[in-house]
Amino acid sequence: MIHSVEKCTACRTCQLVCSLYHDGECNPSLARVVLHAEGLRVRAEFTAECDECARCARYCTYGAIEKGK
Amino acid sequence: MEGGYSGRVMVVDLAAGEVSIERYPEDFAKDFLGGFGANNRLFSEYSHPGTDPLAPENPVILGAGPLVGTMVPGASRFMANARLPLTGAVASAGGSMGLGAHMKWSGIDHLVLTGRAKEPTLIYIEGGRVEFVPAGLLRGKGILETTRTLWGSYPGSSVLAIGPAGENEVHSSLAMIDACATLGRGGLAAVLGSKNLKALVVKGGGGVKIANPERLQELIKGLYERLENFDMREAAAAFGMIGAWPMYASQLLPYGSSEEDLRELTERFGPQAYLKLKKCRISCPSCFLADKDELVLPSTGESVYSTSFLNAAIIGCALMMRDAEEAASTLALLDDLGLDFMTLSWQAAFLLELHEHGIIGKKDAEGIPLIRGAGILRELALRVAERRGEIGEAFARGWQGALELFGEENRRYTILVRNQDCLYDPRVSGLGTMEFEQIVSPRGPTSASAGSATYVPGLPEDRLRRLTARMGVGEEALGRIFSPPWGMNTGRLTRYSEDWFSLFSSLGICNRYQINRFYNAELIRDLYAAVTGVELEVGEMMDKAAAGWELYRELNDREGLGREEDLPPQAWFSDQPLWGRGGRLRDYSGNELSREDILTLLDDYYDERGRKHG
Repeated sequence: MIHSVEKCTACRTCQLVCSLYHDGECNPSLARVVLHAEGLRVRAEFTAECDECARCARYCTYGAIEKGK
Repeated sequence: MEGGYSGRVMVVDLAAGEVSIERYPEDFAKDFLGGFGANNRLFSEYSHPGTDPLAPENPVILGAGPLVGTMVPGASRFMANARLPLTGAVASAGGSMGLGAHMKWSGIDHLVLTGRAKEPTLIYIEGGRVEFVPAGLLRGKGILETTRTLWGSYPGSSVLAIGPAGENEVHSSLAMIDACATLGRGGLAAVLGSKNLKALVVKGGGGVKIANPERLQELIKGLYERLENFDMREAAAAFGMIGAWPMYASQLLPYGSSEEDLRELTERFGPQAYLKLKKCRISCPSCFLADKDELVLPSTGESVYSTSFLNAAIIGCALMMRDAEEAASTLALLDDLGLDFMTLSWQAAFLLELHEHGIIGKKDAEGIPLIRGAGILRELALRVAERRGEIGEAFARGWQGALELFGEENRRYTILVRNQDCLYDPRVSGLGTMEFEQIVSPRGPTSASAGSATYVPGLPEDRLRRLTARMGVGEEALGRIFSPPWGMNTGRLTRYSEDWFSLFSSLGICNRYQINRFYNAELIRDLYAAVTGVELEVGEMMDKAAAGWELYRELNDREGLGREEDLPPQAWFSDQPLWGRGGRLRDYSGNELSREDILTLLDDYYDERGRKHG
C-alpha cells in the first residue's frame, strides 16, 4: 500500500475502517496502518499484518492511499 | 450497552490534584443518548445555580457521544458545558478535531473539571493515566505555539489550549482544539483560565466497541455511496464551505453593494483567492469532507491553520480588508490570542459606528485606528486579550463592559441578543431557523444550533417540507409548521431544528451543513443501533433528543435566563444600516415582518415546545 502525505487530510479513516473490518471495533491501535503524526500531518506505515485488502484505499476520499503494483 | 459508550466519567479536581473514575449512569444514555444531553444531565449534578462563571465551583464538562471515535463520517463532535461569562448562560459548546475521539479511545465518555489549580497547569491523559503538569512556561504563549510545543512533548495527541485572552479571563475568549477548531464562544477559555488550566492533552490508546460491526459496515458503505453521488462532491472536497461562495457572498456583502462590489469582493475573498493561500485540507477524525485548512501566507511564507477559510472571508468583508492574506493572517492572530473573531469584529464595527456618528473622536480611541480594515481589529484584539487601556479592559468584559464605557444609550449601535452579538441577520437572509434561534437559544446567538432545514435561503416550500421530514418530524407537526398564514412557520420549525441539533450533538455527529445533509432520522437510528445495540423507534429517539434540549433550557431557567430574555435586537426593525447590514425585516420567503409577527412566532415556538409560558 502506498500513502501520499501531500494528499492525506489526516482523517484516520484508514485506521478506523481497517480495525472495523478486521477486528470488529473502531480502534486505531489495532489497525494494520500506523500513522506517525507531525503536527496535523501524518505519514502512514503499513504493518506486516496488512493483507492489502485495500479497504483503506477505497474509503479514502482524498485518494491518499493506493494499492501498489 | 454493547458498544459506543466507554462507560466511564472521569472527574478531575484541579484544586486537590485528584482524579476519580465514576461509572457512566446507564439512564443518562437511555434518557438523553449521550454527549450534549448527558452533559446537561451531568451539569445539573455538578453545578449550583447562581455560581459565578469564573468561580472555581463552575464546572466544565466535556462529553463525547456514542458515535464519536467510530468510523461514522463526521462523528468527531464533542460538547463542552459551563456557565459562561459573556452572557451568564449555561452553554453547551461544540468542538471538533481530535479531542473527542481521543477521549473515547482513552475509555472516557465525559470529563468533569472542577476547582482551580494553584498554578498554571496542563492535564495529560493517556489511556487511564492522568498527569498534572506545571505549565508556567506556557503562560502568555499563543495557542499555536502552545499546541505545537505540546505536540512535540506528546506526539500523536490532541490538544485543547487557551491563549492569552483565556488566561486573562476575557469574556469573548474561546479555546482551540488542535489549533484549528474553535470551542466555546462566550468565554469558555476564560472559565478554563480561571481554573488555571492552560491545556488539556489527550492521547487515546484503545478504541470503541461496536455492537454489530457488519451492520455498521453496510450503513457506512451506503453513506459513501451517497457521497459518490453528491453532485457538489468535488467542489466541497477541494474548497469546503467557501465552495458555496455565491450563497455566502449575498449574505456577506455590505448593505447597498453593487454588482461591481460583488465582483471585487469575490476577487478578494472568493474561492480563487482561497486557492492562492491553500496548502492542504485538514479533516477531523472520520470526516469524509475535510473542512479545516493549513494556509500559507504568501508574503511571509508563514503557515497557519484555519477553522474554515470562510471565516477569513467573513471578517474580510465585514471590515473591508485589503485581500485574503490580510484577512487570513488577522483571523490567525485572533485564533492565536484565543478570541472570538465575530465578537471582536463587531466590537470593531461598533467603534466605527460611534466614530461615524460623532460620539467618539480619534483621541477617545486610545490610538486604535478608526478606519475600516485589518488594523482596527488587530489593535483591538491585542488590547482586549491583554486587557490593556480603558477600551481593552472594558471590551474584555464583553458588550456589557463596552456599553458601560460608552453609555447604554449606544446600544442602538449594536445588534445583540442576551448581550451577545448576532451572527445572522434576517434582513439579509430572511427569518429562517438560524436567524430565529438567535432570539430563543438560551445561550444567545450561536452558529449551529438551528441550521436545519433553512440553512440555504430561499428554498421552495415542498423542498423545505422534505428536508424537515428527514429530521424525524411527524405528519401532525409538519401540518402545523407548513400552514397558513406563514407557508412555513419559522417559530414552530425552530423547535425541531433544535431537536435535530440536540440529536447530532448528543450522538457526536458534525452539524456542519456539508455533513448534516447526508443524514436522516432513520439512518441515524440505524447507526445508533449498529454501534450501541440499542434499537429505538425514530419517535423515541427524537423524544430523547428533545429531552436533552429541554434540560438545557431548564438549566438556564434556574439562572433566571428564560423567555423574558428573548428580545429581538432593535436594529432588525430599523431602516438605518448598521455594521454593514440593513433593509427590511422579512420572513424566509421574503415577506415583510413586523415586531408583532415576531411576538406571534415566539408564541408559536413555545407552543410547539409544549411551554405555553416559556
